[in-house]
Amino acid sequence: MPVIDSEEQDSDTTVNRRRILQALGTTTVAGLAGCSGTGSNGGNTAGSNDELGERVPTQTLAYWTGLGGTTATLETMAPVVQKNLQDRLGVDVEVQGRELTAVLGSAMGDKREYDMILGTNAPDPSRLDPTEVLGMYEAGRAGAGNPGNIANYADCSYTEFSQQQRTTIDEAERADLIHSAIQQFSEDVGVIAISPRVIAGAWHPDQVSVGGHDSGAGMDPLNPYVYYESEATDGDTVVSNANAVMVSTTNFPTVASPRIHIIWSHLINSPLVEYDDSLELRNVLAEEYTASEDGTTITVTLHDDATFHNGDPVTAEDVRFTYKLLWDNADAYPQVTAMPYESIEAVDETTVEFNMKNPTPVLFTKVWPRWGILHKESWKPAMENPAEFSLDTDNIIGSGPFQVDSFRQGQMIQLSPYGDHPVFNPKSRQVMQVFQGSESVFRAFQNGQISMILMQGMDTITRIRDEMENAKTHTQDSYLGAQIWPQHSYGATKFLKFRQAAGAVLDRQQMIAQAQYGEVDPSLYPTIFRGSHPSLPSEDQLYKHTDDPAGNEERGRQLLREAGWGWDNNGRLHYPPDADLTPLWPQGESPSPEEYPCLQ
Amino acid sequence: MKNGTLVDRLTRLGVLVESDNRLRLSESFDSAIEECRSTMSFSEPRDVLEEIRTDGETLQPFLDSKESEKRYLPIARALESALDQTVTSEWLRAIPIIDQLADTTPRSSGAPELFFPVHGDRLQVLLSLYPRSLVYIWREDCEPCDRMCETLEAVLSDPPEDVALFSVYGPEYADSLWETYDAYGAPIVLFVRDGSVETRLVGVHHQVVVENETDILRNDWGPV
Repeated sequence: MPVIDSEEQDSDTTVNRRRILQALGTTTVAGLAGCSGTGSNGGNTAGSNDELGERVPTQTLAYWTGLGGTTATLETMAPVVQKNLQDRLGVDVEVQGRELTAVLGSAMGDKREYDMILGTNAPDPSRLDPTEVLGMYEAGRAGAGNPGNIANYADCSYTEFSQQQRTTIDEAERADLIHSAIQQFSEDVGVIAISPRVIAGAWHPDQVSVGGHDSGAGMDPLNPYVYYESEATDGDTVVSNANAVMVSTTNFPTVASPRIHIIWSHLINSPLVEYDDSLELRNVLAEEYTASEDGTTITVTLHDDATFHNGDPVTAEDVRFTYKLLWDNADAYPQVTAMPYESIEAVDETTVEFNMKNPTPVLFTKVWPRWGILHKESWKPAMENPAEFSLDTDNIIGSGPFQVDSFRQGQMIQLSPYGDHPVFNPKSRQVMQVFQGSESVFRAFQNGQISMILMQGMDTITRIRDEMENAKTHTQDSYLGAQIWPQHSYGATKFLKFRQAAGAVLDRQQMIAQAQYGEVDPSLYPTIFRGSHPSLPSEDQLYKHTDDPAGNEERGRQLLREAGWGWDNNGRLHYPPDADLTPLWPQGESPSPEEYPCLQ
Repeated sequence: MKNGTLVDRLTRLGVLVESDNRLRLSESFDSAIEECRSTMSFSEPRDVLEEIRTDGETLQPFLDSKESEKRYLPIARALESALDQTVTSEWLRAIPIIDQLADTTPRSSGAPELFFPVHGDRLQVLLSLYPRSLVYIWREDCEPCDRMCETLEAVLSDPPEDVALFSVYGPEYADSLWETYDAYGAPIVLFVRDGSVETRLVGVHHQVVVENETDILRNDWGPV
């Protein structure tokens, strides 16, 4: 293409020959354009051109790749979504698989490359406190240049509920605020829910008696109770599969994945409190804790008989040190959100006082369950150099129910029960071994090299059921799962009716049958949290996508029709004639305080 | 009348002048347009039309406003003189194209090669003359525009004969683009059928999406 600089541009009166050929060369109809009899819509079901607006253009549905079983699930679901929207609503959909970081980066930056994103949320126990998940959809995170909001959903009522619950100490009042936020989100169809994740595992009964798995938490490597309560039936050792990140380093706060915490914050070290196998919060190293009336001072009393693996008592000073280390070095520790605190005081050997700047209920529902209490003498050097610190792997001292026999970075860890733990009394050694890929895990399990396998895809579990009649399997619905995040800031997905209609027509039954082997029930309410999550309000308080797990085409069409949408004679969906197609905010910008007062 | 024929005919008539693969309006034809503009009477459309040999309602697209009449009818008159024949519908498309050439060429450095740059405030008349067209609205210092430009070039590297391709530099015509097409920002691709926007793509889109929308525009009513 000829280069025309700006000066030349101002005075240029020439045009490339090919451009003129293209402009003059297009076929014309005889007489005036538009007199061919077809009209601009070629006839339509509504009866006249004036009753249809612009056609809804091809939508792009992205799903994330590179995540093994999760990707396999999404890859199977995506074509069903595509077909349902095309056949039932008359909207063409292109499916794009891309790496998780690329998809998230695009959505979080409001780059508008994907109209809908199909993905999942991992059932991290810290998400049993809803604060983190609710916060992800606040208005201040939406748009470009903000922390990121995967659906670019911006609603001030929702935002205010979410913000208020963070600093509400009264449990009942806080629960009401959380319910209100979830209700608002469902009314707005913040997401289009599909199904819960399946937590699936298997074991050899002649090698292990599995426990701690069937009260709600499942055979999930994030569930420490599977390790506390599973006992070897042959020998004294339970061998299980580990994710490589779980044994990637001893300096575990530097790791971004929550998967590392199972070993370092629950097995080797214990937290003050944690979520048990019924997903209920329970005390561990904390014997009890109280909050002041204004919620800013939380006092914790430790078990007076808790010791580290070398016999040192677990003291208030160790608790103080642990949280100073984490909160003062939040820049080095990706999983840490620095809490606004005034001071952490070791009042006496077993009493710790957290003096916070604001009421902070998430301290005991989200923060404490995440972090094991560290042995101060072992971890003191980390205060000076948090990013580069590492433990002596021959002498790892922790506060948890397991002590380290052997640690091979990136490969394996061997643990044996610590008999003096104040709460837990595991009976068997645990060996957690890394395997490369689901096929090698399957082979090792098939060969009897592994006693139990955790968090497997349903394809692996199905093979085990088919090929190993003596093995046992267990599946559990998770409290988080798969959904579509429609982009709220622009396009067809900007419109509530479109989101409602899309949610109504999806064949969740087929997706679950194909991608999850029919193991779970469909998620019919537009929330991020699924059935077992403690924060969900009752179903009658939520908007419902549809009553039909196979989707309801007529319901979807009725929703659109009532709002003035229509279809042309090719069956393609059109906006209402008066539809405002301008985005809620321009691309490259973020919601304005003028339009969203909660941002002032 | 085939593609090369219309351009070649206009060149032989002395309407267009070619140099280094670029075309411009000849000075003589430019002068002829101005002379027509100065001598034509625009008080009544009927009077003006009587000055031009044309069949029936051929020139109707140019009569929706006085501004439009003054802009396009002198060109039609000058063209008639150059042709020395009735201005028929086959010549219709040449009129707004000549009009564009009579003015400073709009910015085009950020537009795909085959997209004809047009002044945004004259888009409506132009689009009414084509059964199918794409309009690419862009601006400078716009990374999504650069990406969308590449996508359009990839999709339309083999230019379709049945879809006209136009580009508009958005910032210079922001008001008229907003008023006429509710188009705000860039990049935007309008898919236009018989002068009406059938659908639009706002922002960056994947090649398959652009291909799909182009196919729909071309094929929904059967092959041309």
